[in-house]
Amino acid sequence: MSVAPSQLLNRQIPEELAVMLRRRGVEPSQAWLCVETDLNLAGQFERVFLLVFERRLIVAGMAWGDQSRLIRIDLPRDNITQVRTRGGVGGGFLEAVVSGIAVDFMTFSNGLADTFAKVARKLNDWCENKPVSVGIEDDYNPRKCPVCGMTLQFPGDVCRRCAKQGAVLWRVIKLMKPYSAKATLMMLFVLFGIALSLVPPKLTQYLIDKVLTPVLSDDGAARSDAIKWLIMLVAALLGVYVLGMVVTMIRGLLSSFVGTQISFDMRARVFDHITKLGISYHDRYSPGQLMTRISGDTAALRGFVDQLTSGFLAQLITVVAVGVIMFSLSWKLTLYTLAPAPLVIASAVFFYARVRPRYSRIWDAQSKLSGVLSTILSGIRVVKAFGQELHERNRFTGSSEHLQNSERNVEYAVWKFTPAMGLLFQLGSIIVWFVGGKDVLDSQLTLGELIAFLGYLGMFYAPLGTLTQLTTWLTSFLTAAQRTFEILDTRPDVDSSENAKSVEAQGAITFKNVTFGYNRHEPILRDVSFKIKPGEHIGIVGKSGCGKTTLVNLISRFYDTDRGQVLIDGEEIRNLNVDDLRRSIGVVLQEPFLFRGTISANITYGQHNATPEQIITSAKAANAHDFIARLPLGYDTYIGERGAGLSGGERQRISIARALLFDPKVLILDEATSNVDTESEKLIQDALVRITSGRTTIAIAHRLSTLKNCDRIFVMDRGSIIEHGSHEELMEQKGLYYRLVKIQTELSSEPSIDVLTAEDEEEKEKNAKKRKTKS
Amino acid sequence: MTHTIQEPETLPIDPTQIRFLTPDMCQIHLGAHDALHVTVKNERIYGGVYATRIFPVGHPGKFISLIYIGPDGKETEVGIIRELEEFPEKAVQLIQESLQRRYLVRNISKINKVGLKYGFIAFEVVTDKGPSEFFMYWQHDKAHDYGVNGKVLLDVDDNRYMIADIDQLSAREKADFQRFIYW
Repeated sequence: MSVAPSQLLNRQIPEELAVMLRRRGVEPSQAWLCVETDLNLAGQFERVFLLVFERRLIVAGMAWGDQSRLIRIDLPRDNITQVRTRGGVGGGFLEAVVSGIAVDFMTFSNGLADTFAKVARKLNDWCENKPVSVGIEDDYNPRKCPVCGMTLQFPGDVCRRCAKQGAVLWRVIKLMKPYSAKATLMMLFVLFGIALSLVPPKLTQYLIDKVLTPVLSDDGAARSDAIKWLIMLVAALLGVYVLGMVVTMIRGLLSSFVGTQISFDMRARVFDHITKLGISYHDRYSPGQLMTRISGDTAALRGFVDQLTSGFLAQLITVVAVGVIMFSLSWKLTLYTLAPAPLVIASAVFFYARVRPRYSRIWDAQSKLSGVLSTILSGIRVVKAFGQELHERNRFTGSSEHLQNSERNVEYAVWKFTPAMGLLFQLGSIIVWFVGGKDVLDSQLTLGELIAFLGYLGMFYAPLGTLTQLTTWLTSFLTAAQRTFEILDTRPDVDSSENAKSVEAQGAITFKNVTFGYNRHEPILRDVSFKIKPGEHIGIVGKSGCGKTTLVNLISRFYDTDRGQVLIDGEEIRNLNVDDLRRSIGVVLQEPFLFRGTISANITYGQHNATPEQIITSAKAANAHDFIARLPLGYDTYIGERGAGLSGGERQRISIARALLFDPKVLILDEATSNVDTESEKLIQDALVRITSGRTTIAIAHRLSTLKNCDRIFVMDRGSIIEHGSHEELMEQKGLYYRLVKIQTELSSEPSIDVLTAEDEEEKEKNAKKRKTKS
Repeated sequence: MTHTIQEPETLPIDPTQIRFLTPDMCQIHLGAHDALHVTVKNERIYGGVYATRIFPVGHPGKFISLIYIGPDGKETEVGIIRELEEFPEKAVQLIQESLQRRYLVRNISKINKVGLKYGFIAFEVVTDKGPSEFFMYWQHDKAHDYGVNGKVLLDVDDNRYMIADIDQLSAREKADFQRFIYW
């Protein structure tokens, strides 16, 4: 037993507990492992310690009360046959098998799950009297940030607490960087357009003060001057309008270009990122939810550009520019104009806080509606087969109503807020009418100046009114942007490292003590080790849930192991380029997935430059050519969603042809024939015999008949390989494989592996006899 | 190659048939090492049993499954308790202790503070197990529905915090909560 300091597994227990234990004859310093948990067996928060000595383990709690509760568990090592972790809801247990009985002896919350997984492994070695060590290396936990200790979403993830968080709005602005020249030009046109819009009220002032007022109050001498002024003013107004039209047109074109480009780029980035994210991410989100994010949320980013050019930014600048002019016309009237502003700002802040979550709920309702629709439509055959149209209609209506209510919730709030804001502004203009009119009467202001001021007042209040809706738009926009960045910020849990090596696999596969689980408490694979030689044919059998598919998922690196290594041709799989790796592996699944498109396009998926000759060759090898050739449009036959229009066997043969065209060194057949009829299975089996030749082949099979050609068969049970060998060797062992074959033979009218083997032998004998007769 | 062949235990239980456990046919008690035991009359003693709710949301106090863990780790349902109250007080207490051990859920009674921090949602709450602060990812899969009006929150460690009924929160707490958990 090697013991070195470790913060996690060699903790110092509190002195008062040590004293109490010594009184009971237990010397804590002699424990080689001491670990603390945060819960007692009743599920209450309490500091509880596990102390493991050479020949016993004890569990002691801090809330010992009358001392009868000081030592909760005291187990001699010799009585324990196994220690394991078991998951509860929100936590887990350490469980020992003592004299054949499962005994929970320690509870922990999920934050300590990794620590107790380590403890269980060490205790198992201790039970088996194997060498055990505790040291500083036990403190390392790849799921924790080494700087702040925050739990990471997966090993190797960037710690959010330590990483810099960019403001959402700033990140959106940075998206415009590649188009900075066009964006700058666009903004110049925006400014120019605003400047032009300020001219007409000023011209109105001149019209009144220089043309109309002198003429109305004077004689003919003033009239000739007024005509000159009038012509100049009309010409200037015409010029402003024409120029304004040109500026608006160019600004619109630039805005459209930049906006659609940003939206396009974001769609591409989000789509790329979603496809790079690991299977575990896709396990969590439905296709419907992701569809909304790719199409809806990225489109919202386009709205940002529109807001810059004709929305809130343009209006903000207009408000400032108009404010300056108004101030130059009459500072007193301008102050009256601004009187309602503090109330407007306060209202907007309040509105922002109240409305933002409601916008999020609209998005959520849309996303849920998409999810419900996607589920119903993709399962429409099941819906019809069970006559559940009405039930599904009600489900859809429920989601639709939720969206309706969410939208109403926001819009009602908006329609209460906006008119109230309008009234506030109108109060300002009423004051201006009164004070301005009085100033004109008192000759402190010219009539032209007042009319111009009222013109500018319209220009000031109109955008200010819109600006009160800025918060509404901004919240909606920021919600969409935040969700988009949430996807982009999610790091793929399985990715090629910077120094990833290219690989052209030869097909040697090694598992070294691999443990993996989707849930930390309950490994699906436990300490699995094996070696497969290039070109070897391996069958995997076992009951449902024993880890067969999980095992092959690790070969394709859809997930990374929790412990141990997977090696391809002697190289650790994490050091290999993921794309190269997956190109070396062909997978034929139980449920073949065909895309909407032609049969030809489906076969060439992943090998788009394949020639017609190659397509036909692979289809022939997959026993698919004959049925394809019989179709009116042959390889150009368009098939529907998921291969609609073809039988299960036909779809499977197309998927085999696709895998074959890929020419992989490793072929994985995950129950490839379990969903097809016997005749199709025979055709597929014949094809598989041909295409697996010279390739490392791993076939998972429920029907054991699939395995008659395998070099070795792995028999799995609860995450471990418990038997391996050829069919004959396994039958001789009379273990689980033997039992499975017997069960299948008894239950199934279809040929078992025994029958098939016997038939095969008979056929061989017949052929041999024929050859003899001929010769 | 790892080999851990263990002969499966043969149990007198038909896994294809439902069996409701009643006080007259079985006894629930503690056995060796204080492990939960179930003695089924005319059958056998099942030592090392735990309780789990089959309908934890729909019928939290009913339909409790008692699961026996064999020496090989294989789990087999001994039977289902339809109404826990039918059992003697001591048995009820043992079952409830087993459930408390399995369901480590903190029930939130008050939200003191909720906000964004480091890109997480940071909570300061009061629970039935005392005050607590936790971070959770702002992701849909980290806040699940619980019944009609409840939510179960999963923190960064997947610890569970439950609000059985959001409407029971104060208006301020509810508004703060729904600013972030809007789904």
